[in-house]
Amino acid sequence: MAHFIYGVAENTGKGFFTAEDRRKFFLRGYPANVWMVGNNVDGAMWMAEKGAREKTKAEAQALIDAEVTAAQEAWDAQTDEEKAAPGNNRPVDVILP
Amino acid sequence: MATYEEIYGKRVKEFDSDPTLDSTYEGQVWYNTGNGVLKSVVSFSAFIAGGSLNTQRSQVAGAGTKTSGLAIGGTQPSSTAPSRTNGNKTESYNGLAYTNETNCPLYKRQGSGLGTQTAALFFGGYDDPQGYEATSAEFDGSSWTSGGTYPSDIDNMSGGSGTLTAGWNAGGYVGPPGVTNGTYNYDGSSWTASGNLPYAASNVNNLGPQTAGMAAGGNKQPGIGTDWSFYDGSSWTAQSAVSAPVQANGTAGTQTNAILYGGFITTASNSVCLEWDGSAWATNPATLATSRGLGAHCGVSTSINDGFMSGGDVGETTVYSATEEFNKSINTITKGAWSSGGVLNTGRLVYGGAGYKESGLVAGGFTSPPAAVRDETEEYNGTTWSEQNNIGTARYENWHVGTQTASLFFGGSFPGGTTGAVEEYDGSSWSEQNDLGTARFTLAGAGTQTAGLAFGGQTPPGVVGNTEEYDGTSWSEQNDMSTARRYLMGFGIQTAAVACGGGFPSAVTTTEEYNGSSWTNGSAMTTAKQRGAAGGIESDGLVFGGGVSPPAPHAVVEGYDGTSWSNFPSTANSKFNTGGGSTTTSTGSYMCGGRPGYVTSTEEFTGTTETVAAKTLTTS
Repeated sequence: MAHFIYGVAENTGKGFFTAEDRRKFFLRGYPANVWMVGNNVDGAMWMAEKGAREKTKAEAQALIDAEVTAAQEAWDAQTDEEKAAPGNNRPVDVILP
Repeated sequence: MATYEEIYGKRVKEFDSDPTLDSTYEGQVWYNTGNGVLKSVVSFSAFIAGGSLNTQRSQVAGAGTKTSGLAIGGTQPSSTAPSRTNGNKTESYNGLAYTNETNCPLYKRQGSGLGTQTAALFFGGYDDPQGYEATSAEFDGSSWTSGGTYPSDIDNMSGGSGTLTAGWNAGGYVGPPGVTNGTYNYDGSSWTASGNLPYAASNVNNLGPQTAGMAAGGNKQPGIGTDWSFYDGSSWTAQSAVSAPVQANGTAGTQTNAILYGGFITTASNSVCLEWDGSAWATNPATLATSRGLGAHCGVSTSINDGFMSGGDVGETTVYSATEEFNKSINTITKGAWSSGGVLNTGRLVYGGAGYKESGLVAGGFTSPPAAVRDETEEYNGTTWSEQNNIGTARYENWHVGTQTASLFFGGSFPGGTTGAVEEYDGSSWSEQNDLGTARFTLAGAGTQTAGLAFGGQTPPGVVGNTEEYDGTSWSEQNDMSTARRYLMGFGIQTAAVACGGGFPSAVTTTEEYNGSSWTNGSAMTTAKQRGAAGGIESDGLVFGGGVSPPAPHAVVEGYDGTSWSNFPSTANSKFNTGGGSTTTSTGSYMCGGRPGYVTSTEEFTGTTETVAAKTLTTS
């Protein structure tokens, strides 16, 4: 059995996840609205309540990769002057643990 | 007949209305003449949700207590070579959050733990695919060394108790032909045979110190025991039987007051708690919110209030990371955690933040591509962000302090330049003020609009430790920080401020405290961090967001009590160059914006609360 389940759900703001949710199960957010949730009853119920579209880890990673790649390509298309702006680092790959 | 005062030392009182309650009211009975109700404050038992394991797992060994615990090894059941997945994981618990520690050199599930968080022994258990093992390892709070080998291969979930230099284990599974009644004492280096347990079983609950130990139940193969025996370090004495068959439970307490919870109590993966009052067993009304067994629990305890369970499973199919702590007191306790807040209208890098989670304010920032320095201002009401008048000078890598109706925004950068510009916000519009003496960016600050403080930052090509105080009109140079750095975090007031983290280029753990005239070194953060945010006051601050370096943001949150740092519950999102803060205490903190992705999300921290509630007394 996998440690985590993965899903895609838009963070709707206040109440999307509560302090009680955080006490009950592991929850971590990633680009492309990907959420990695502890694979247990509470985590699965939260995913269902949020209408999350469940993904395999590979599918979730592919979504993250697509978003990061798009951001990297957009960054690469900038002028050298824009790239040199302080703090304007090239987006880096995000790998699910 | 004895009076209530003679028995409990307190007279029954009369009040017009219920008083404001605190611990002094424990045991106090009063009659509310306003509504005709008799009330009192009495202790009650409950399991409280605590901080989750970073790695969910089951068949976990435990050590320490609920405020200073350890979770060692374990597995994801039903996986291939399960002990090789998480069998070496070590996490420490401070009553709020788990922190990853150095991995154990041994990979085991179903191991046993004893001792404290800083002096623990992990022994026995099962290592896939080798099988049952006798090996052990000692943990000193930071690193592992090999420990004394058990006299035989041993597997005794919930076995092992006492301290590292005076530990013991009774019972266990020794491989074919089966279970043992063997009892052995550990002196910090080797195991010595002691008086045998009155019965042979595996999964025997061992609790208490070596000279006042206890053993409960276990799997006698066949049959689950109700046996309850006391150990004096060399021999056993049978006691009144446990009220239900038990094995592999969570345990805590002493020979005069002990509890067993979770694990097998009549049925597997139970939520029930049984309490021993020194003479008999009864069912305690508290139950685990999540029925389960085989989670980490005490390695040594002196009270039932030391009890906790972290992780565990139901039927080896559903595995948990959650922690529940046993608490018997007059207080209703709710542990701190982060929750989602409103969505920013403009996702961006944010630096600093004014106000607190119910009245926040951010301005400026950066998005790319196309590279754009932001001038948007947004106010937060605890639910939604709303756009306000833009700041006068668009910029980022600034710092921002004060309240939603009286904030101070200073320093920063823009492509091709560094600025010392200062602006004040009055709740509706921005006004330009006198510049910082030293123009800089990636700085931090503290204080208020009329008593502000700016420190550190970058003035190309290097970093500075410059400190300036603001009196509502102008800035004055003060003593420098000891460690010049950029992308640091700050919180507190002008006369009691904290500067922490940052770096150049690598993130550091350095902390310095400012008393209104000079800086002194504080204790180091537990994790190096830069490009994060901070809130609170010197004696109750919180640092969140950021990371070790830009490519690796983390969700680690640390709290500062004026003396030392400790891990707090983590945020759900890992972001750097994130904003937010708190003008109140740590519990007012909010975190918003940041990267990766120029996010719009907000998270809010709610601190741990303890409240005293009155119980209505009835005649039934």
